[in-house]
Amino acid sequence: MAVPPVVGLEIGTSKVVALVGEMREDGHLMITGMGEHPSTGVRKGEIVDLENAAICVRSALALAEESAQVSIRQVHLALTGAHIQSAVNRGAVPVLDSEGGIGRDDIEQVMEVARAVNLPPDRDILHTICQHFCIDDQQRVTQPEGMEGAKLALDMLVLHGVRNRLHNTIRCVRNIPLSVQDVAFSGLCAALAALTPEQKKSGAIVIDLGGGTTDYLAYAGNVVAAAGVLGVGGDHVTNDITLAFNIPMSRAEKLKRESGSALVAGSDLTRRVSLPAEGGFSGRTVSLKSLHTVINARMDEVLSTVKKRLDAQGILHHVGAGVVLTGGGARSRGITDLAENLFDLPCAVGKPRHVSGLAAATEGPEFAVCSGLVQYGMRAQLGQRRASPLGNWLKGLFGR
Amino acid sequence: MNPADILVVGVGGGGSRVVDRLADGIAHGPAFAVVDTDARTVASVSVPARLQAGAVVTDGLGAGGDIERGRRALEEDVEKVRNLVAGKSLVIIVACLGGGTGSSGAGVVSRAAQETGAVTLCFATQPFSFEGAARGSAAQKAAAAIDDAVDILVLVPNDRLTEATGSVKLNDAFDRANRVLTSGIAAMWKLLTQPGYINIGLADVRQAAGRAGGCGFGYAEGEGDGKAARVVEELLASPLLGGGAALERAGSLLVSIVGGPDMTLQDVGTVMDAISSRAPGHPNISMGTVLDEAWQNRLGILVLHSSAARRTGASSSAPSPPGGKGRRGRRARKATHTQIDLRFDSDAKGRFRNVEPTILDGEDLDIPTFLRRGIEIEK
Repeated sequence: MAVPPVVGLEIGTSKVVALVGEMREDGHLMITGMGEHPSTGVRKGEIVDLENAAICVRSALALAEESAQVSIRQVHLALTGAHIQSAVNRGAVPVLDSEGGIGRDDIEQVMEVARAVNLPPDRDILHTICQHFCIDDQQRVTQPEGMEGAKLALDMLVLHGVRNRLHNTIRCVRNIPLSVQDVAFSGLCAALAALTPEQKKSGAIVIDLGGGTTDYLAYAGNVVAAAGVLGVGGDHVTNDITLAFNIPMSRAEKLKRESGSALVAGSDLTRRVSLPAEGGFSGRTVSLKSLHTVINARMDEVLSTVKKRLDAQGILHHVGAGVVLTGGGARSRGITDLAENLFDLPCAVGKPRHVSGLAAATEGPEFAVCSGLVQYGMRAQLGQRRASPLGNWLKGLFGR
Repeated sequence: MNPADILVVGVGGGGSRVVDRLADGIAHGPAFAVVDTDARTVASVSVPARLQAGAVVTDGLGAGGDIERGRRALEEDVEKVRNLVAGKSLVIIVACLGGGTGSSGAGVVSRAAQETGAVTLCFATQPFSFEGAARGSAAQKAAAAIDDAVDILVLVPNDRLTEATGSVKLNDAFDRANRVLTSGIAAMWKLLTQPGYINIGLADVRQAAGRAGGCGFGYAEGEGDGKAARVVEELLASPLLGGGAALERAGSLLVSIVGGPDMTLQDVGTVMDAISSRAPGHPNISMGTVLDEAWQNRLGILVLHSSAARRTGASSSAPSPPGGKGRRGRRARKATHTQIDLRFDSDAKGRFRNVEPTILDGEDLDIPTFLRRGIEIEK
């Protein structure tokens, strides 16, 4: 029986991307269509101008439809925003039949309890991700079924966000009109796309350097140990350049991409970049050293902040495979070196894995989130993964 | 300098009206021009050189107070702006800030003029406080942008300008305010084009007034017996100079005294003594006199003061190198201008002005990192 295609939609701050994924008979996921459009109306990963954002989304979807030769009626949606936080909640239940060993019922029950986290009234759960089980004193149990014990506990990583802000993006998409099958946190999607099973086992940190936000997700001990969002992104780098040199935003963006670097090299000391006159802009030269200094300051701050947060949870000691960078920002010159110096861990640019198909979509780190989103959606469709709680809410709404 | 080397251009509705009034009745003087996006303004002035910019962007209806639209409109017709300013050594731009066209257009015109080697000076009025906080903060932001785009920025707060008239009736107040402003601007170009006993050049003006943050302005005139003492007293009491307080804070002063053939050394002495006594902080004072044949028995005093208090914590920029002219001089000045201190949040946020800030550990991360870390950026 053919599995229907999954469409992933990411409404980012700098671009809107839609990817169409189809499951091949050999079990391979193929990206069969892609639509991309520059984004307006989105700031720091959240929609601030519904009309403009809707226009960009429609354009991206139209391109994806044409590219994949399908008609798109429903999508999986990536969500991000500085309001998204994670918390670890522990649930514990007495084992029903302590002699017979831990059964499915015990596991389901402890999962329910671990999921029941007390959130402020304005927040909704986005994901609940199982970490480790505990049987009595034994920590870090991965497969408790059949084992003996009196008490079964489970640590659950709960990702949550402000309800209105999560629903804002969903509402925009539904007004296109489109049906939203499910939603997923961007950082989770990036990790899904970019990490290998080996990296997850050794421990790895994925940092998606997006236009509006920096999303991160860390694996330690083969489970998701931490996740979060920093409301700072590539836009901030461009804005810093705009204000440092008093040039228009568009010129700053171009300057960043063409001549920018996250590290200040010794050879930059005297070189200058010439910005030709154009329109009302009368042209000027910019010191390369100054440009790199501005970018370095910002990127150093972003990465340091992520590091600080992970450090606070004691995660950095358990990350053997190092740091993987995704997102448009991962293309910055010198960014992997900067990250390596900061984290004191190996660092590489992550590309979408586990998918084949359209080269453009499968090569660039900026497509990691959307690609991972497609994988996420496909797994749910194949029954391999629970839908997210919000996804269930969406289903409940439409009675699907 | 030859009057023909100077262009006085009004940008935006307010600026255009001021220049229209200035140009009225001047037979021999600088060239005048008017640039606006609103077709009606352009049509209503009598200045022959006028440019309606951005017809496509604005449909001739003006920028509607939208500074982005104003900028795009001017950029649409930047070639025409370039033609307007071509061949001038000094371009005096007059703009009323807070709206769309003047606020953004002043910078566009200035940059176009600097491209051709002209020095630019901008008289920018700031909206009345009763016009509301939104306009006020838009004007502040515009002033910061213009400050970067021009060589000399003279800021004229409308509130103080009308206070200076001491008039109660609205019509009267605006009328007299306009007169003070236009006389001040006229005194500016006379300073540079009409010889007097003591001459000041453009370089001196830039040295005295071309500091980051702009400078303030005061003007008074009068006639009859004892005019020197009276006019200087009126000047020092003027709200434009904060009742003289501005002089106390000033780091640099530029004084220009305009008078007729009957002006005496004693008159000059009276004026300068009075000013010096109100400026105990030993500021640098550049002084010049202008001889205007038509000013028999009349005296006018123009003061430009650089006040460090205008921008809180203004950076310590080194004084502009003397004799620096044109692009080279300007670039030399910018090289020593090591750090922009943008304490006003709206200035420092750029793209993130109207977005919920990202606050972490009490710091607003939307403000550039290099600013918050105090990293000096060489331009």
